[in-house]
Amino acid sequence: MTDSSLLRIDGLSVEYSHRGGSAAPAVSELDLAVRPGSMTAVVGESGSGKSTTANAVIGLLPSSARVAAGRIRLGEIDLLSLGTSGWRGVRGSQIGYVPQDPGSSLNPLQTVGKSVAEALRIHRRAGRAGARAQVVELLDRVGIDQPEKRADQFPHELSGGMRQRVLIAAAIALRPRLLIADEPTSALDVTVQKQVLDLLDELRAETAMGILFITHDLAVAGERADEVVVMQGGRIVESGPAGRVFSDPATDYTTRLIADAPALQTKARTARAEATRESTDPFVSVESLTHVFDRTDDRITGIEGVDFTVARGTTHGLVGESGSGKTTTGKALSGFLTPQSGHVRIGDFDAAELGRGRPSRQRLREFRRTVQLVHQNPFSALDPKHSIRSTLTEPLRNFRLGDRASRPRLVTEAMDRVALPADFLDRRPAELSGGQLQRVAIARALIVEPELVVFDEAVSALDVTVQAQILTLLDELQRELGLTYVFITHDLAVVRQIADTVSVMSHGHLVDDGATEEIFTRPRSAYTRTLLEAIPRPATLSAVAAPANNRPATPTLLTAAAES
Amino acid sequence: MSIVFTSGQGTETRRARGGRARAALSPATIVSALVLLIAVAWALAPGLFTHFDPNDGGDTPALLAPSLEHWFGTDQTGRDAFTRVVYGASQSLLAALVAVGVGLIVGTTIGLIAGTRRGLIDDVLMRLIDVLLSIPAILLSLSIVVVLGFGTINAAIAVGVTAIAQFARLARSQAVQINTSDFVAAAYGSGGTFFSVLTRHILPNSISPVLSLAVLQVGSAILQISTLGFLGYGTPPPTPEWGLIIAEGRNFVATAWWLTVLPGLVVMAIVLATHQIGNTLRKVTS
Repeated sequence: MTDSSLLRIDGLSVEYSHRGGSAAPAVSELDLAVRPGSMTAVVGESGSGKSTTANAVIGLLPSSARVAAGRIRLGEIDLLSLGTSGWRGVRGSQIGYVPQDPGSSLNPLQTVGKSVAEALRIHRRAGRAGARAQVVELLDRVGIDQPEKRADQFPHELSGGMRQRVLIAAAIALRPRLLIADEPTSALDVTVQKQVLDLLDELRAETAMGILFITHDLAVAGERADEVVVMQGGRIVESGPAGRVFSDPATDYTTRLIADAPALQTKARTARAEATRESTDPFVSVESLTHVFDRTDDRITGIEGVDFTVARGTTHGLVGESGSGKTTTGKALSGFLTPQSGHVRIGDFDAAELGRGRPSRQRLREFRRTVQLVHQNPFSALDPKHSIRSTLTEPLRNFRLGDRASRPRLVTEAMDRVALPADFLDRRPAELSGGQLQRVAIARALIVEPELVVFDEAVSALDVTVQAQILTLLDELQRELGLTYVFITHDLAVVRQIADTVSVMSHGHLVDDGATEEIFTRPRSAYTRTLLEAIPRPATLSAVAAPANNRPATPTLLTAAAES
Repeated sequence: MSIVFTSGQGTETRRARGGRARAALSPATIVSALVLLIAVAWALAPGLFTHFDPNDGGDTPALLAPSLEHWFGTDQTGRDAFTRVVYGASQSLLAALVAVGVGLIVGTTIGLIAGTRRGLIDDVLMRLIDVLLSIPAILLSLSIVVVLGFGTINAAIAVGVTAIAQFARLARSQAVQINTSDFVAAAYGSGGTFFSVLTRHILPNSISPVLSLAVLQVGSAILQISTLGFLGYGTPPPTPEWGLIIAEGRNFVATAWWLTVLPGLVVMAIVLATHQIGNTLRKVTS
């Protein structure tokens, strides 16, 4: 294996130095190899040093970072000894790089054709006319339809998946031997993610290109990679063939990661007693909710004719890809948007009516107390200038709950409920991690004792282990306080874990609606089926590790697809 | 483990902030701070720096050249020019603070309301600001002084009105950005009313660039007030005021150049110093 490897990293250590401060190792003693035509995935939570590793390989470490020890060899070339001009012959022509965020990685003032041709021009591989022909061919190669037309379009005219394909086209333009993909699909919807991953698979089968794949998504790594390296705190925790790592993890950390990744477990939620009870009067009922921002041909931006109901004390999942209108629905539910038509009944309130007419201020306040929204990004949902204590005290003061003497106790109780120590109260948001911030945001929502909590992608920005903790916490809180949840997410696996009932949305319409298990095992619409099939499933895991009692889900799904 | 991690992060940011503050303390900033300190000391306790009377020259000869006794020489009635500059500091600095205060309070209020309310209110307020911007500053302040009457404070208010537009524009751009952030939506969600959200969340998060602009504006305000004084629209004589001192010296510029040049250099030094401090503050806070 050693002889045939394309990229070889031996004992790599990278340190970040702060001004006048001590050096903190971001990566230490890392060994890794990529063989031609194979994919090695580096998996880890945020801050585990995976991106630092990728940047070290392509020589783009920030100026504060320094390679302290180790060797990186690409074939016969020692990458660490290269100077500026040496790198010029390697970057692009031997190592291709696909960045994480397709939204900000293309120059908005250049047509995508020009962006792709840039590498060709810099390396003088083609003249003006030749470059054009090659660009069209490349765009065609990565599966972009009408490549002639697309090459003359600007990045904002393309969808996220399309832009990621353009970036891949630019990375493979010079037929590099190694492709580094730094979280190339994290910003994409599952169906688009599947297309991009399929493309990478085809490319390496065809050109014997090696791929170094950086991801936080274990499911993706397990499904596609040949070898997996699990990192934690800059060190390798475990490495080996993907099948072995997933079916027989050697360390506790990997076992926990696999257990926490919602996509990897088929654990369904135990049904609530209330959920099964035949309820004639649902707590939340949405009727023909319509709010159209823009309409072109038969496509709409916004939502049209959305109906669903949620029983008291249950969790309703709202699933869809970006642009499907799920956030608009969530805003209408929590009273932040007045829909153009339709009704949103929550208990004895009508959220749609509150925004129209001129409701009394008192009524609006009562509504706000009944329905609370938890935002997607905990880093922006808390005012950076306020301490946690003042953030949690604010809703109490606004709603005149408790008095000066009892509020500190209420705040401490709220912190206790979300399992945060009370000495965090005097910290500012910048001093907390993402998971802790999301707990504070949940505490703020719960402190006013709401009946309905709307979570807008509340766990999407978090690492899998933190995500699992938050989901468990939400489950406990629901049981204790009898809360009703509406859980908006693009992640089907998360929905399966937490929701009793599910609505699937696509392009502003509700395409599927029903009990979670029913949707997962017998999807009614073709769209739901596509979504379910796009979930990455490590073959090794479902074959070996999945407990027997959870097995029916996958086969039923496949047979359902085959029957149609 | 997570606790250890976050506390580590905390010290890191603190260290970074300390480093940035140290980097900002360039020699120019230190000199600027000294110049401003001296100017403030002149304004608070002018008697400590000179033992002459600013308004009565007594029997001192007129138009003496600078000497150890009279650093800036004496003017046409034998008053010590340096003494008049020292005593003028309180007038000029007070007027500058009033001017910036007017601009800061009125401008920021307009900007924050326009930025958070949007729609019709935004349009009306910002078009008014555009009108204000389209009138030349000196013409506007002269007109206001004519309406309000002559005097230091009136001149200061007039200068302050010309600064409103800049503060309003900056505050609005900040407020628009802050207003779309999740924590503002969350604040409304936790029962906040428009004014409580405005004062508790939008104001504190948008104020720091506005305050840096205010410090920058102090320099410009001193200059504009001196301009008004020079043109005779400010403090009436014999009260010492920097613009007025320079205007009076103008008549003798051929024979006693120091009466215009030396006070002019003092004004220039103080204006430059406030600009330097303002720039430093902006760099540190952004």
